[in-house]
Amino acid sequence: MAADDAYDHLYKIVLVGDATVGKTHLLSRYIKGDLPRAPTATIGVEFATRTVPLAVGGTVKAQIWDTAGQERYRAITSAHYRRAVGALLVYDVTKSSTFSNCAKWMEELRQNAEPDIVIMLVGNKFDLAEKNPSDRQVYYDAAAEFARQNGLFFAEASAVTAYNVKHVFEHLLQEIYNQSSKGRGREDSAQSPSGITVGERGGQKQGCDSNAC
Amino acid sequence: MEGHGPAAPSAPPRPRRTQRFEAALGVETVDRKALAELAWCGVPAELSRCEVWQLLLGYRPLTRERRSDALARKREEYWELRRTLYEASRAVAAAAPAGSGEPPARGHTGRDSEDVLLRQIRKDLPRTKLRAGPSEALSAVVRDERVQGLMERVLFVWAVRQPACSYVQGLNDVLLPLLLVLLADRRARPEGTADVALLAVLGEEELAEVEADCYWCVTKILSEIFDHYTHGQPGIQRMGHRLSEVIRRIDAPLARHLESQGVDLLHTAFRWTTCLMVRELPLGCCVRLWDTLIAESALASGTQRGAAGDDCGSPGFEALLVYFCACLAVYFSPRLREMDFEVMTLFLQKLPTGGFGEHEVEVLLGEAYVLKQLFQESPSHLQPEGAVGSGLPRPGA
Repeated sequence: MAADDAYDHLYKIVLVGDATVGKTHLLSRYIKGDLPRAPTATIGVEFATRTVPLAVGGTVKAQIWDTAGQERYRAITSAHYRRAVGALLVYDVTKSSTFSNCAKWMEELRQNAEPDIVIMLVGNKFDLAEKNPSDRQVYYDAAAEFARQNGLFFAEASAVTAYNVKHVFEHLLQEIYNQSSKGRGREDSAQSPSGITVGERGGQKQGCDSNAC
Repeated sequence: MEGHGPAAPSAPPRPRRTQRFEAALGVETVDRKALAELAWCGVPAELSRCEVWQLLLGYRPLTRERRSDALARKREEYWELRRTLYEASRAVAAAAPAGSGEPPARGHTGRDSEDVLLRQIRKDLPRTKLRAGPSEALSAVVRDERVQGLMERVLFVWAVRQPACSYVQGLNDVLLPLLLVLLADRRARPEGTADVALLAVLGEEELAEVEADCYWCVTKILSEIFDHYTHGQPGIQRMGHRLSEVIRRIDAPLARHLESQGVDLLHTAFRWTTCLMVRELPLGCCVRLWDTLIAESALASGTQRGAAGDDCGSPGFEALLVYFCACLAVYFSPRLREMDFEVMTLFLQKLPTGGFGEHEVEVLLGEAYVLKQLFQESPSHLQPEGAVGSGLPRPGA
């Protein structure tokens, strides 16, 4: 968090998804390496930042906005999507409604964020599903298919065990870099097979609904 | 009681202010305005803050002989609401008792919303936290099973009765100062000293009364700032715009710095106004602030509350709170002006107010009062250059 760290790129990222899917936990795990000491519901937005070296493309500073998940706060939180180049769209693998709402969240992002925003779909609370498979309500394949249809990246993760947490953030940052360098035509960086952005594929939501739940 | 009554031989004489409070409270019919004027400067620790707040909020009747009947009736009324709206709710019936898991995800028509409501409240209540500072004992009170159940029912009933608003995250925080003041009062203790031992000696009946009183008091407060929590949160937006405007008038260098760094106070101060400072200030400071905000509203209700009263929001929890927030930001101005966007944003979302005491709050309130007078006398101070649309976001930055 020191102000003097040098970086090559500055990316604004937002964390979105239903209330209590674990957005703040993921962020805390990534930024502090730990869960929040005194977890509370996020009111409005909260900010955090971290500078990381990319595998390809230098060093990036991520300015991450953690948003309140409750519908009521949408007017405030959506104002924060502006100029965001990346998003972690989080759902809870043990709660199907949080996954079915992902289509709505994508719509929000499309309307308010940068048109070529890169989105990483994250199924959080993987630890719960692992501990007790009958608690799982969203299957990996269904989510992966939803991601494929909508041009999202996808992974399951657990803020509690730290499983995949670093990966989801840093994969997103890398893809933003890949995307933007491709956009500027500066270099042909290795493209991920599913590296499609959402904005280009406007009207796909019928497809997602059938997959939701 | 008037003036300097003969002090008890061994005890030191009561401070003058306390005596004046006692005089104001001791009469047959309390003069709400006179009491509000006293309470504006804080309720002394020796007195029942609970009683003062309830009188000022218009919950406890001003006339003594009406009090016990009226309170008994209101409590009955709440318990009836609790029976019909909470206990008879299919969502509640279907769910395991509070604290042990979640209600089912699906239900019959129209009841789904109550499932969602209950689930959200149950997610938020266990993570209701006081601002660092208060003793562990106080946190244990908030975590207590009976207290959690009480808060759940109050929030649930309120939400069901206010469908235009329903439960909004953060209302659990708003409930805290009231609840702790009311609870501690049951054993004539100052709110900061409530602990689990106190809870243990409170019977179910007493707790049910606290619950009912808590419900009606929070209802009074929220009715004044209802549009802070409705769709699009127009009240909070209004406060954010006013806050920026006030800062621009009283601390132009800070305003310029905020702007140059792209910091928008509407967003950074969002939690300040939404949670009525509960998350930003230690409990003692917060109740001291609320003394004044409640008194401010009571003072205004005597005078110009009338036909047009509604659209200017609460005099206390909105108008005066904006000035207080402005003074708080300006208090940190020298430090803020040294910070860049990132450092400042991090700073503002975790203000170093943990060590604040009543003194700091009173200094800020004094400044807020001066601002209020200043802007009230020349409203054009607050007129922004451009038109001030009441509408949705798109604020300055």
